[in-house]
Amino acid sequence: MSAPLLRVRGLHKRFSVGGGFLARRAWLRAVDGVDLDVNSGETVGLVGESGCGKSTLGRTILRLIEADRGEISFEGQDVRAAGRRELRALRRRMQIVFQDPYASLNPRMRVGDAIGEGLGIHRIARGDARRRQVAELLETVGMRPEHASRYPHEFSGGQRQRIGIARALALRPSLIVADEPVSSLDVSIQAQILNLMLDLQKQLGVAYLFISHDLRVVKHMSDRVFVMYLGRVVEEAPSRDLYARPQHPYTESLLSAVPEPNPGGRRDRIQLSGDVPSPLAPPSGCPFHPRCPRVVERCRSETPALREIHPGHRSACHLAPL
Amino acid sequence: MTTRARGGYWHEVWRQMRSTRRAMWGLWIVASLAFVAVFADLIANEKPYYLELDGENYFPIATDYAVWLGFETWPKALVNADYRRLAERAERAVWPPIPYTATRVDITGETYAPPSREHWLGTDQLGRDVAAGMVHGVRVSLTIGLIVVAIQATLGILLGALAGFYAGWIDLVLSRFFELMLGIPTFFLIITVAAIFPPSIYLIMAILGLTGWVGIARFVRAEFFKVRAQEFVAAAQGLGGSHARVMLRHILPNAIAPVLVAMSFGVATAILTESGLSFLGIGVPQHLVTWGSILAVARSNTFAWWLAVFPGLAIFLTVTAYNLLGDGLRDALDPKLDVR
Repeated sequence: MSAPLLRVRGLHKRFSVGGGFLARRAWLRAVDGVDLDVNSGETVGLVGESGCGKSTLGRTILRLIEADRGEISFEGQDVRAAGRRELRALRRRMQIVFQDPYASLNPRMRVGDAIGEGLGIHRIARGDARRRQVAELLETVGMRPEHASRYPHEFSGGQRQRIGIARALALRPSLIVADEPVSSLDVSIQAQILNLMLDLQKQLGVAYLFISHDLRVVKHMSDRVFVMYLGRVVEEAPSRDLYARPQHPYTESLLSAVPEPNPGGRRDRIQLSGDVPSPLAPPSGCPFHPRCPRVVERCRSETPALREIHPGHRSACHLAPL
Repeated sequence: MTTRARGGYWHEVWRQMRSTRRAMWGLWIVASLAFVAVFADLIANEKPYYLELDGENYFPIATDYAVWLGFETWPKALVNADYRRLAERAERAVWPPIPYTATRVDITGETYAPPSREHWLGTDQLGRDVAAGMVHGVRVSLTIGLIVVAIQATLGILLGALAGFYAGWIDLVLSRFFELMLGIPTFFLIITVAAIFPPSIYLIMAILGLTGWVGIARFVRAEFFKVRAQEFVAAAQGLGGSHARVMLRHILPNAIAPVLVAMSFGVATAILTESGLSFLGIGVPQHLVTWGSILAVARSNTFAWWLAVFPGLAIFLTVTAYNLLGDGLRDALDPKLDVR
């Protein structure tokens, strides 16, 4: 395989929490040494509970948040070292779709202006040419060209998410970071948006980094899946493999919590005890050990590294293969 | 919030405003005052609109503007003319509703004349027509209000936006600067400056403008903090938008509403301050007739009630109108206060 489209190595990002002039600051490790690859045209799923750092990771890749340490390279270019002009050029090729379709559109801007803004910033099209492209984009995402002259508040959540996708597509990016794109939508609308995204991928060959806490959605979308826990990747596998043979107790418990459509074939649910530990004071050893049903003595002291269990399937658990 | 309004946000605000009676009163009074200020020369003027003299047609007020703009020079017959005397031997003359100028001393008339048909609102200690003074006072008051607020809004929006957008140490430094500015006692500063420099209305505008922007800056800063965290701002940055673009096109339009309210209140405050200064005779040149300076004459001549009542009412009405307008704007801009 050729070099990946996006290559992330050892990425760290911490936020300072509280702390004032004299008070001591606490540090929240949102992203704690993540490695991640996304190949051209594929969809990589990123799952984890809320607060595990998956959104931070997505935004750090686009440099909407600056990382502390680590490498990000996109199409062979060092993202973190990019200057203002280079960064602007990079942003033409990687885009983001947000979770909240209400907050992600400027309420004072007409839909057409919002979708066409990137075309203006990068001097791709102006005037009539821009209007034509905006109309095409609206049709691509299943809306009508005349919607361009309306304001966001005139649309439903699902329609707004389509607008958000059109805005991201306007620059013909090769990667779209989709940050929980359907989490705030009704289930029936979720399916429409997900299928739209899959269709667009087939048409345009765009790669997705698909961030979600919903394992079913990730399964539907992804070729490969990364599971995050407290800022770290704990398991990485091709989608089918991960769902069939999870190799980390955390993944096992997540999978067991997915509601089953047929009650007869229900597996035993693994109930996790306790809450997610505070990322301000992560546990020693394996970050998952306080809640792990399979915990052994070694987990408390020694942090497990990601190891390849099967080809393409890596897990950060001392006990793997499970 | 409704989802029907096609015209967008400002359309909705206007609908909301129209349904508030107090706000509309404020708006009407403000609009009328603006009208009077713009056309003050046509309402109160010692020159006639039209004068037919020795078979010649003259338009002295129009000529006055033309001369001021440098298009014309005064015709010989009108140089240093006393129009009242000219009118006596003129074939025809058409006068403005108030045929006096604010600063014109009516030599034939009496001083401290009570309101009459000749002088609607009476005259002052020099025999100047109070009605004319009131009309030109609108101009002074509104000019001061608007220029002061324009300076305040420019500085307040600029510095507030920088503090709110960049946060961090830039915000830390700017916020301390805001606090420092709040500590400056404006009134005493004006008194001090008035003692050093010759009285000038521009100086007062500059001082009020340069010291009074902190409120607006703090509003803008808080709004920028709030709006900046929304995802559409990140989206604009993700598209490659520059800081200036993100601030001007995305954050500012969503942060401007409270500024408009503050500006409306700011006009009222500036007018009140200027009236107070004129009343005390500080900083405003003697020859300039303002509402406050008319009031000041009444202070030592309490029998001349018209010198106190009319300017007092005018100040009250104007300040109230701007406050009502600001109040109505605040309600209209706040969707949570929708009374309907």
